[in-house]
Amino acid sequence: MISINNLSFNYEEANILDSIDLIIKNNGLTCLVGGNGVGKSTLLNLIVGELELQVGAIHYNDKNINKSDLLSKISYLPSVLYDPLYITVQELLNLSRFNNKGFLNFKLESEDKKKIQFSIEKCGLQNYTNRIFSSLSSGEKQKVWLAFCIAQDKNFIFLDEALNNLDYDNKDIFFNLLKEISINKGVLISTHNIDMVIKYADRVLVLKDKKIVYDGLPKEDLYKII
Amino acid sequence: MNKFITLSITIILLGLLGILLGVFIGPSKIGVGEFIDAIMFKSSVANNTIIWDIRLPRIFIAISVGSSFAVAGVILQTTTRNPLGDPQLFGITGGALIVQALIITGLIDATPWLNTILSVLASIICSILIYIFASRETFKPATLALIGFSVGAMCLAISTAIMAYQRVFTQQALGVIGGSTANIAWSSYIPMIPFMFIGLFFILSISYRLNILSLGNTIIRNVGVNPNRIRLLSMIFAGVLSGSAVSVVGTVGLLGLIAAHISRIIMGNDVRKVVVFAIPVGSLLMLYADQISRLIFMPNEVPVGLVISIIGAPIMIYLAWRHL
Repeated sequence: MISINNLSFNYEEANILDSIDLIIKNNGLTCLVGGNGVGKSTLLNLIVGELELQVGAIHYNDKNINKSDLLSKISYLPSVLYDPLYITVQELLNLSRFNNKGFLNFKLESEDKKKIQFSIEKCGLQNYTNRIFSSLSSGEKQKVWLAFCIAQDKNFIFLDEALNNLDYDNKDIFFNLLKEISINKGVLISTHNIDMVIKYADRVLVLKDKKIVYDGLPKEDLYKII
Repeated sequence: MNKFITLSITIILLGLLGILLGVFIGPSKIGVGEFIDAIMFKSSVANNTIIWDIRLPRIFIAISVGSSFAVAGVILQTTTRNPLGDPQLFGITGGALIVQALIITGLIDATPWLNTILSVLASIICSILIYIFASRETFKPATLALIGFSVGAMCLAISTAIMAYQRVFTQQALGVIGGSTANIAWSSYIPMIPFMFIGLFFILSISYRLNILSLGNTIIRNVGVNPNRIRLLSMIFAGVLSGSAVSVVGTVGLLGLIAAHISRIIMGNDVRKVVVFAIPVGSLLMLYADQISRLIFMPNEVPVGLVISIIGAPIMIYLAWRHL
């Protein structure tokens, strides 16, 4: 459980977030919605430590936690991702289990290999493993990045608009997959896909005017709040 | 595996041919018999000197310097996600160049060992400075290139000014700025060897971590790696390799850049393979460039760095046009 207390953030004197309190549980699919520039990415970046906290605190299971320990619990995909150059999908997914064991290469234990294989099957990437990553379409890349997070098998998965390049059918498949994963992981995704939010979310957070103005079950008239 | 065998055979054949050119062709005629005699120290004093002190050292030097610059180029390109990565272009060799200018003008009285050590230290200082400036906020490849380029230009100007002020002979000044393997004694070359092996060993042992650097900072931190620490270490060891090389031959521009790109185009995805393959690529480029620099206006010489630039620029243009 990640708890965020009294979090405020200013960017060059502009107040982006104002005393936000939020608890993210170890399970369930939470969707963060809100207009452009409302601070969704800022909120996610503060939790994963990409931005320095200015005001407020983040606790893990009600205890203090340092940045790198907290990050070891969260898989995070930012909205802007670099294409790793020259490497195949399989090589990229192997890197999700990177460790410091081994001398001339990192060592994948059988458990690591199992988790990578699991993620490949879950995301339907069986025919892609030998493709060069940068040659894939943007939707296919997002599938691979999601598989990367699933293979990491951390307690939480945070996605910043990470499935927005998928076509409608694939969105449906992948939100369904997120729902399935969220049985034993806390999944938080920021998105503009209200259809999917209404169909799949366990919990909706609406961010507006520096505050979370709605925190609850998805409902048909979400459009009106945003 | 087939590719591996083909490449190995090509490298060995090209290497042998280059070495044969280096040993047998030159202003004085050396035949096979004389060469064998000289190797066994049975030849005349003149032939002994030509083989042992003039022709053989520069073959070793070309190979060592070529591989050092090439590996430094690969490392810089990978760690900075910048296809311009090159020890010269990034200003890392700037400090070593100033050291060379100070030594050649006699302002510092240095033994070969001290020369190499000072050059390596100066390169490390340049690496760290460039790194600090470039990573103050977030690490942007373009910022790093701009800062490195400026540092390099400033160092080149300072060393040229030192040599102008002290009225160094043009030939010597060209040797430092243009890079030259001519007339270098074994004793000047030997101090480079330990630094080269330390640099290569270290870079090979971390090169699997370099694969991860292409993922972008957020994802790198997410797999539990501190990207900036690896970047700093890699730049320092690129400094060790290129600084020690500069202490022997001066600056050789573009070599690291070209060798790294050729190696990447042939080996593809895995940084470890690219690093390893850059060693023969850089060696061969330098070996052949050195033959050209020796033989094209025989018995006069062109600085080898200029040969690399004249041949390298069209190669680089072709590679950029075709592959980047």
